[in-house]
Amino acid sequence: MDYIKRGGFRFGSGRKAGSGYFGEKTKVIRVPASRVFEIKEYIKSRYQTGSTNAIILPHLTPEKSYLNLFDHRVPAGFPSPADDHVEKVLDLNEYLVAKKETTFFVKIKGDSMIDASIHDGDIAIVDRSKQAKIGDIVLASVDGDFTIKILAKHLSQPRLLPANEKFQPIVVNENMQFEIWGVITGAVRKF
Amino acid sequence: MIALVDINNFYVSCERLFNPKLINKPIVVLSNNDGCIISRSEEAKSIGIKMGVPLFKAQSLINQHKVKVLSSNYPLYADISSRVMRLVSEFTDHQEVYSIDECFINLAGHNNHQDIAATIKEKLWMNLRMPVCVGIGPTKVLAKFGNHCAKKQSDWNGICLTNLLSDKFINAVMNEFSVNKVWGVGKKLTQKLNLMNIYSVLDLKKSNAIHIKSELNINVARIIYELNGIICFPLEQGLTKRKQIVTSRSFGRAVSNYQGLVEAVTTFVVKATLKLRNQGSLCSKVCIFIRSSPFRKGTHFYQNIITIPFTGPTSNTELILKESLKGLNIIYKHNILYVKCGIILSDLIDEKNSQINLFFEDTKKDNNLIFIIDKINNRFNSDTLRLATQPLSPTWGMRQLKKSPSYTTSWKELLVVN
Repeated sequence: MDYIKRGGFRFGSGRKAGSGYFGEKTKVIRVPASRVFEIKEYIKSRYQTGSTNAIILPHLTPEKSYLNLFDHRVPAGFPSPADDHVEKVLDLNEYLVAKKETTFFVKIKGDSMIDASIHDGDIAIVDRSKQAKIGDIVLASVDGDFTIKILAKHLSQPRLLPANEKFQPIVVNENMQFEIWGVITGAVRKF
Repeated sequence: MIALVDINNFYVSCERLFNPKLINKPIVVLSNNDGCIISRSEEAKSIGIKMGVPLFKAQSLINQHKVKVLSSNYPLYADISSRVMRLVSEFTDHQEVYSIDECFINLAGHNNHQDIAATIKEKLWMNLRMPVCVGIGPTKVLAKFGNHCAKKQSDWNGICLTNLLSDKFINAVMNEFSVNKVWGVGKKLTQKLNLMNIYSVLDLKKSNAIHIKSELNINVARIIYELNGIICFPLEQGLTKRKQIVTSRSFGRAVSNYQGLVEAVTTFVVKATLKLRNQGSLCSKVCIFIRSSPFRKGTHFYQNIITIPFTGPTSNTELILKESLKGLNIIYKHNILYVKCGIILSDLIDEKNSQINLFFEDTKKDNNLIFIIDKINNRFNSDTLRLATQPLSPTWGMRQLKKSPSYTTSWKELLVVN
C-alpha cells in the first residue's frame, strides 16, 4: 500500500485552476498594514464605478510653479549632469482636469455616496462637457436642489441611486424639474 | 464673415448656473452698491422692469411679482466669461473679446455658417448653461445688427445670418428698427441723425456717407459703409492696453473723516497700480476725486478733483500713493459727508518704450520690492501683504447684501452638495 502518500499534493484534488472568484490565477501581494483599509477601499471603488473614478492616494505631487527648469548656474567647469534630464513637474490639475473651461469643483456634504469612495468634506470634480451615461456618478438638480448620485434608469425614467444602503434612491418623474448638471470625474481629499 | 457671439442676460445666466431655483423665475442683478438694475431675466423684462433703473423705482413691481433681487458677483461673472471666451476661441483663429459677455470671431475657413453658429450655441448651452445669440455678417456692424435681430426674432433660434437674407428682406427689417439700434449710435448721435431725417436703420444705410462725413464725422461715415457691407472696423489684434485706469467706488456708508478717505485712496492706488503693472505700463500722472451726495437734503454739495503729474513715468505703488495722498490733502474739506472717491492713472505708456529721465531718481530698487509683493499676493491671497494704511475690511465698503458665493474662485465658497 505504498502508493498512498501521507499529506502533500494529490493529483486531481482541490479547486480547478481559474474556477475561483476572479476566473484566473491569483497572486498574494504585500502592502503596508497601516494602509490595508485605504487600499481595499481604493480597489473596491474601481470595481464599482469602472476605472474613470480618480481616487488620490496621498503623497503625489508638487506644484508646477515653484520649481524652475534650468536653475543650475555654471560659473565655470562641470555643468550639472541632471540638467539634461529635467522633465516637466507633475501637476495635479493635469491629472484631474480634462477640460478646464468646463470643469468645476464642489464640496461634498454627507455620506450618501460613501460606498463610491466619495466622503463628507471631499472636493468633487465635475465636468460639464461629458455626456452622462447610465452608471455615471452625476451632479444633478432636482426641484432646485443639487445632489450627487449614480445615474440609473427605470422604465425610461431617470433614477438617482445613492452609494450607501442607508439612503433611498430618488425617483424622478415628469412633474419634477430635473437637470443633469455635470459628470463627476473624481474626488480629492486632504488628510 | 464675422460672427458676434453675445450671451443673453449674462449676469442672470451666471446666477442660474449655480442656483437652479432661479430658473424660470423673474430675477434682477444690481450694480455695485446695490444701486441700479443691470441685468434682468426674460421674466423680469416681461413684467416691465426697465434696464438701468434704480432699485427703489422698481421696488413696487419687484414686490408685486416676487422678483428675486441679487447683488452683482463680479468674481463669478469674470470667471464664467473667460470660460465662455476660451470655448468660443476654439472655433476661430481670430477672436476679439469686446466685453464681458460678447466677442467677435472671424469665420474664415468655415463653409457652413449656420452650422457653426448652431454648434457654438449648443456647446455653450451644454457646457456652461449660457444662452447665446449669434449674429453673422460681412462687417462688425452687420454682425452686431444680426445679433440684435436674432434676439428679437424668437423663431430664428437665436441665430441670424444677415448675409443669407435677401436685400429686400433685410431692408424691410432695417426699416423697422430705430437707428439707435446700430452699434456705435448713441443717444446724442441719434438726435443729430433724427434732425437730418434719419430715423430707421435703413435710412442710415441709404445715406450718403460723404455727405454725412462732412456734416458729422468720419466715424458715422464708417458705420454707413459697414451697414453696406464694406469693412471699416477690422477685428482688433490681441488685447488692447488700457489708455487710462480708473478705480473708484461709491461708499456703502458716507465717510466724513480724513482717515477714511486715506484708506479708500490707498486701496484704490494699490488696485490700480497692480492693473498698471499687469498690463506692463507706466503712468505719468494721477487724478484724485472726491464728492458728496448732490441729493442729500440740508447738506452742502462739494466735489473736487486734482491732477498730480510725476517727474517721470512710473508704476511704483509707494510713489504714486505718496503723491495721491498729497493731492487728497489739498482737496479734502472738513464736515462733508463724502459718498464717492476715486483715482485715475493717465498718460500711460508702454514700460518697454519708456525713456529714462536724466533728473529722475532711479526707482528700480523700490520696484523690485513691489514686484515681490505682487508675487506673494498672487500666490497666496490678494491681501497677504498690504500697505499699513490699507484697511482689511473698510467701513465704507460696498453694499452687497444679496451676493451669491464666489463658487468658482474661492475654496471657501464652493457649492456644497449632498
